[in-house]
Amino acid sequence: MSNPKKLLIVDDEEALTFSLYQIFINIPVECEVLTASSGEEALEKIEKNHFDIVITDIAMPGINGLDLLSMIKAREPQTKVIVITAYGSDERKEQAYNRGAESYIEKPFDLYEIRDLVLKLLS
Amino acid sequence: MSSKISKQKQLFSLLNTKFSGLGNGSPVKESSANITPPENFYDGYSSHLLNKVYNFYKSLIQNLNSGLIASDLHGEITFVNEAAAKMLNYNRQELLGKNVKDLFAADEESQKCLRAVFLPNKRLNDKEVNFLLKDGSVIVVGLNSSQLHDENNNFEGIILLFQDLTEIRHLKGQIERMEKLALLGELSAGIAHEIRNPLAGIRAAAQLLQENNQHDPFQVQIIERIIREVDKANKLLKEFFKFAKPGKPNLKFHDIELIIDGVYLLLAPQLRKKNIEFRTDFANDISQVYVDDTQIEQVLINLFLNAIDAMPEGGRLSVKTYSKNINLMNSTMNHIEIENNKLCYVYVEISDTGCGIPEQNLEKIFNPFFTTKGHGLGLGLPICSRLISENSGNLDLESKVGQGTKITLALPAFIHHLK
Repeated sequence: MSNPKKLLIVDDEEALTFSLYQIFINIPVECEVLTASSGEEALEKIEKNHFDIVITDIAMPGINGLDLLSMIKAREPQTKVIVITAYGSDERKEQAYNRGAESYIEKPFDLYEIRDLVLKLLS
Repeated sequence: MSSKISKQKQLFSLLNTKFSGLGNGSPVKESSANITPPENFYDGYSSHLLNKVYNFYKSLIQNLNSGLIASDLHGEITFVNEAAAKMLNYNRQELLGKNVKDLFAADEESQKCLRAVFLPNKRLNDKEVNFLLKDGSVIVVGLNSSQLHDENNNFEGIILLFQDLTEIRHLKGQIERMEKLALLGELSAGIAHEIRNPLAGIRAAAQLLQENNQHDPFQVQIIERIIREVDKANKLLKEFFKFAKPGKPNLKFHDIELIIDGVYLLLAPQLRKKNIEFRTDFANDISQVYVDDTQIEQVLINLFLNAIDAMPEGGRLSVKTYSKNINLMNSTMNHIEIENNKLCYVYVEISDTGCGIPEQNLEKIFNPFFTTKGHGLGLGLPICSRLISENSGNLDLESKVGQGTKITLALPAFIHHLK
């Protein structure tokens, strides 16, 4: 029996985090879904778990998503990180990819598109 | 040193003395463009060489871009160069004999300046003053002064050197407007970002609802509407981002004519369909512009489309290019750094024969979301203005109802960076 996958959703917008959680607990792959509302909380969870995928917002109080991305990649290079953001700038997109992001998705996005991306990365 | 050069050096020194003597007591009033020095000038030196040196100095002074006026101790004008006469709309003869205080538009200003100028070892540096033209209108000039001394170093008069600042002032005003827009843009980008977050929450929740209500087509339909409205709001915000936070320009030298031709080719079918004649008048040997070609292309597309919209029954769209050098006495462009302090701008004039813009709307058309059209978001001109500003250029607009609109872009032909 293979180990269940682990997915972490990091965003200070509770409404979006809730919807993403609901979508991912029902995907056809055995997957444990955890959430964090800040970069600091995310790091605490990352200390105790190995995550296959982390979905993170950029603009959060405290540690921002791009710095969190760098820290995750430094600690767990195998973890795939998807960046979601309300910013529309090419500079941030470039920064995210330079730091090792798997994908950069602008909000608001299609819930099923992000679900399909996660399924693809988990397979 | 050759004897020829040594002789020339002596001649220059002699002529310097002779020139200063000419302004002493009996002013020489120049009656024609070609002046021959008085006979006693020659004093045994080669007349050809003397003429050559004399004409060199004359050419130097007459070809200055700045206005140069000399006066005696009483303020009576004794010398005027071509640029001064042209700037003030006089011919040189008309100014000779006038008093320098008559150049000023305001008595108070003339008293203040001239009091300073006639003091020993006092100079005016880059002082902005109002000068009076022949027709009574006023121009703003940047004024410098220095003092004339004779061969015994006696104070014998003053020299005023000035430049027309009207265009620079106008540009400065434009830049200030653009800086305000840029600041507004920065603030607005923050707000737009904050709105996209809850929109993301609404959309995601709506999609979840949709998934859980597949059995009820009516519910699904209602939820579709919610998602559509969220997408509409998002599209508006994305357009707004183009105005609020345009991407950092990738600056390189480009031929502006090639960019214009590219945009024309893109829009040619629309122009033909709407029966709009396209005319170009490109200056020869124009400098390349140092800009982001994609952003300038976007501006031109926007402006051409506006012109097309303004001519539903057909008309003419003209594009003219020329270049101009601007002399700045001090840097008015605090937000950009300029290499070498040389300022050549390439101007692109886009004119249409469309319906024109009512005067009461002229100030509003650069405000985001202002539109008189049935379609569109009203962001076209604010985005154009912003992009031109990001490329260290300037956008000017003139319009008359029933006649058409002319937009003038000034694009830098020099290397610059935004600070």
